[in-house]
Amino acid sequence: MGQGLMRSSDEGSAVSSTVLNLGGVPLEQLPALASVTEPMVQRILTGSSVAAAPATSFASSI
Amino acid sequence: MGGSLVPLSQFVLKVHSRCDLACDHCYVYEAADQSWRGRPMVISPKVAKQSAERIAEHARTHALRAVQIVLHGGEPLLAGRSRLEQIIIALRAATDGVCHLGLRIHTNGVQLNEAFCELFARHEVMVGISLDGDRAANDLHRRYADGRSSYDKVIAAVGLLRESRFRHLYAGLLCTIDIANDPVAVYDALAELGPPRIDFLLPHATWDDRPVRNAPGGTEYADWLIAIYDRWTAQGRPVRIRTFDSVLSTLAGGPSFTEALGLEPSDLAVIETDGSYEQVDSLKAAFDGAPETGTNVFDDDLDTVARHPGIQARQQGIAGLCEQCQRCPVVASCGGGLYTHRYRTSNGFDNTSVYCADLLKLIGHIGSHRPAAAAGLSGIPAHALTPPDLAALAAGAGDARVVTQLADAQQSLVRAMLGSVRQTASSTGMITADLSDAWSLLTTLDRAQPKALGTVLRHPYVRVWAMRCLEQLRPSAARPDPIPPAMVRRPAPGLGHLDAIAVAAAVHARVPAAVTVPVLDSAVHLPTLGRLSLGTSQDRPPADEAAAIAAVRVLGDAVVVETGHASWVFKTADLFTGESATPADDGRAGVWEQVRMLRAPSLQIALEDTDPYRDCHPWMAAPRLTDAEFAHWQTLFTAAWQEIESRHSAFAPGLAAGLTTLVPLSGVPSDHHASATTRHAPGAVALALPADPVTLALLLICGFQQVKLDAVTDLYDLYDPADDRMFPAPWGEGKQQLDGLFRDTYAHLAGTRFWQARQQSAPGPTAARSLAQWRASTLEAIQTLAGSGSLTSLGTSFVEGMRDSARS
Repeated sequence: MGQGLMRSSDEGSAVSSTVLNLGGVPLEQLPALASVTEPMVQRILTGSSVAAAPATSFASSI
Repeated sequence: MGGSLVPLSQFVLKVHSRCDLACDHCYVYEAADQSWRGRPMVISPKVAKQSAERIAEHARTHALRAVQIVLHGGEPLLAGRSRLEQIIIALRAATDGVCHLGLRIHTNGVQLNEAFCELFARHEVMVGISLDGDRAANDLHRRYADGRSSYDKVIAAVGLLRESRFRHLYAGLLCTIDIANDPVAVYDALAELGPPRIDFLLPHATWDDRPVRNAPGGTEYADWLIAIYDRWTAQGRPVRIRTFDSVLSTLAGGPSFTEALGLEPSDLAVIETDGSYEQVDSLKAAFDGAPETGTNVFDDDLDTVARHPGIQARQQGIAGLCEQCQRCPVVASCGGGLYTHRYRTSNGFDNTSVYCADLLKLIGHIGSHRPAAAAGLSGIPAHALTPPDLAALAAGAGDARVVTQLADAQQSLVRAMLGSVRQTASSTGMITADLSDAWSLLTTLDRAQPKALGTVLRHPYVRVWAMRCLEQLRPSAARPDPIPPAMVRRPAPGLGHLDAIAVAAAVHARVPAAVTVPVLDSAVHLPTLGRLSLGTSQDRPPADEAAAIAAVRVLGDAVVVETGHASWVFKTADLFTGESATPADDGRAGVWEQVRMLRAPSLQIALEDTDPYRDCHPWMAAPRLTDAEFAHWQTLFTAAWQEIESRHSAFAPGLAAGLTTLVPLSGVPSDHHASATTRHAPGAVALALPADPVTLALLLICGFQQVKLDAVTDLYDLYDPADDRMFPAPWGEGKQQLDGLFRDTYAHLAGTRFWQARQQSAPGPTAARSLAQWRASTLEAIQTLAGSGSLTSLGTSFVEGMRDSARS
């Protein structure tokens, strides 16, 4: 089930996202870290995401 | 075992058992199993129809919302257009009204032509293509029996799929690894073809028939994939790669997306051209007859297949793995690898993968080279919500703490976008002295006055501006949810607005600063504070406005604005307290138009009618409200908030924590209740003021629902963003794409709960009728979402939470 959010046994474990918490990262460092934050930005720009599930997991198809 | 059946939801339908290529690495013809020799070449209409009915029967029995069917071979296009269309129609007919049917075909591409593409477009069949890289790489194996290359024909097929009329059918490219090929050249060649997805397959091998290696005990396959992974991450992961996405997902506690990795239970069966059910057909590489189940579509239902020991063996999770795998630290990501790759004659599948060392190295490398870790940010956590928090949001509400968490995540995104704007401007030669000054001021304030800077960065239209800057700086960027040009009634944004953002934060902090800002709409804008209107009509900005600038100096307790030969001096405190006509030192008129606050006992939010980037909704942003108009908004807002607090208290804490801004709309028909939000303006709801406070309360609650959902989807994938199909929407005559339908359904869920609360506290025919209508349309839309086949597992759970809430 992967990220089965309704399971009571999961109450203690947060579901991690692809968005890094940059609240504590100095703004002046962020341009240099652009390659790191790029997936976050690109996800907003293009909607592409590492977490989107393909329709089939059959290895011999895509 | 009877009670523990895992329903099957993925089916591989073999429609043709021969191939027009003679690839020497093919598991169907070149491996241990030779059962293809005894099969019919083409699936018969009778077998196809019976297969369709078995699948529909299984979906009905287990209330499956969606099934996926892959038309496969051999080479499935050899079945011909006519037979393929018969098969597709049979599959659609059997499952119509039972479940959503996701159809795709996987082909070598050499026969794919316009007529096939038109057929697939007619019946919504996605097309995946096998291609092993550039010409040299592809020609190592993918040749005709007489040795001719297949490369040019495959490239032509991909070219067809890339045409705009067929682009939506393009599922991706599948590449079988050969370590003799240059991995980066292979990846670059595939990526250049613009596929939505790529996957790299380890060539089938077992402990009896081991993979080709340069030396015993090597990890050449890991090294090959790692070279691609490093390039892919350095490029910002521009295309989905299923293997890497799966490892990244499982490392973060999520699901795998391929049967070749992870612990997900197998839910897949194969139907051969003669109607035989088989297990996953890569088992052909293990031994002759390995995939057989001894069942077929005429004599057996799919429950029988699902109970087959061979299929259930791959549904046991970690318990189904050998002892060494069970102890392995990366077992959740690896899952023992592809089942076939574990086979050894002496003990069957109770082994590690023959690629164990490669998988261990690859997963270890990805784990230590995730984007954050690569930059020394491995200690930086990702934003996360707990399952109960997500469940509360799915139910419709979400308390102040959860909404604050969502707002914090939005801040991280805005900071990332600012960093990206700065970096991209620099790398494209767009950096100017003014921009450098603005950035310097921002970083100074970030260190010394983070609260003041945070106030400005939380302003919804900072993200809208950053978004448009990035689109301009990267013209190739394409969004799934664009703000249509007709809806963006703004001149092209200048990077100079960064100066306005910075100096607004300096005003909040009362920190000395001096910057140059652009003049837009004949006004100097200070985001979150307001604008200095310079007296020219907003409708007729000067022709040379793009070049117009103003100097803004913050002197602690005073702010000086200079434009041309005129200057204005304000007490800093006055910028927060009201509208004032302020003559310049040359007597020229200028009006400071403050962002006014709507106040209620436990809440105050900005009524934003000055920001130059607020006009990004389907309706026009209203011009500056008069004092009388603002007073009317205040009166209705006060009453609406009373309604929310007294009758809809589940929504009040979230609204108080996350709703920061209302934007008046104009041009909305008087009989139309309209609220609008955009994903790129978090915390803002735009609306036309209705006649009564109850309707305003409804619009606020429903509008803010979309704000919350947008924030959730900024964190998590609830659905496949590549799904661009149109779905019927029960609240209008038109159809909507999945993202719009999801947003509106979530808003309608809140509307349902709104009318439920009204019916409980003030029963009457209006509330009863509204409740019935809203609930029915919400449930109908939820059913459409659930049956779309494009929800992620998280999205499925979220939608089920919505359904439970709408029914309660």
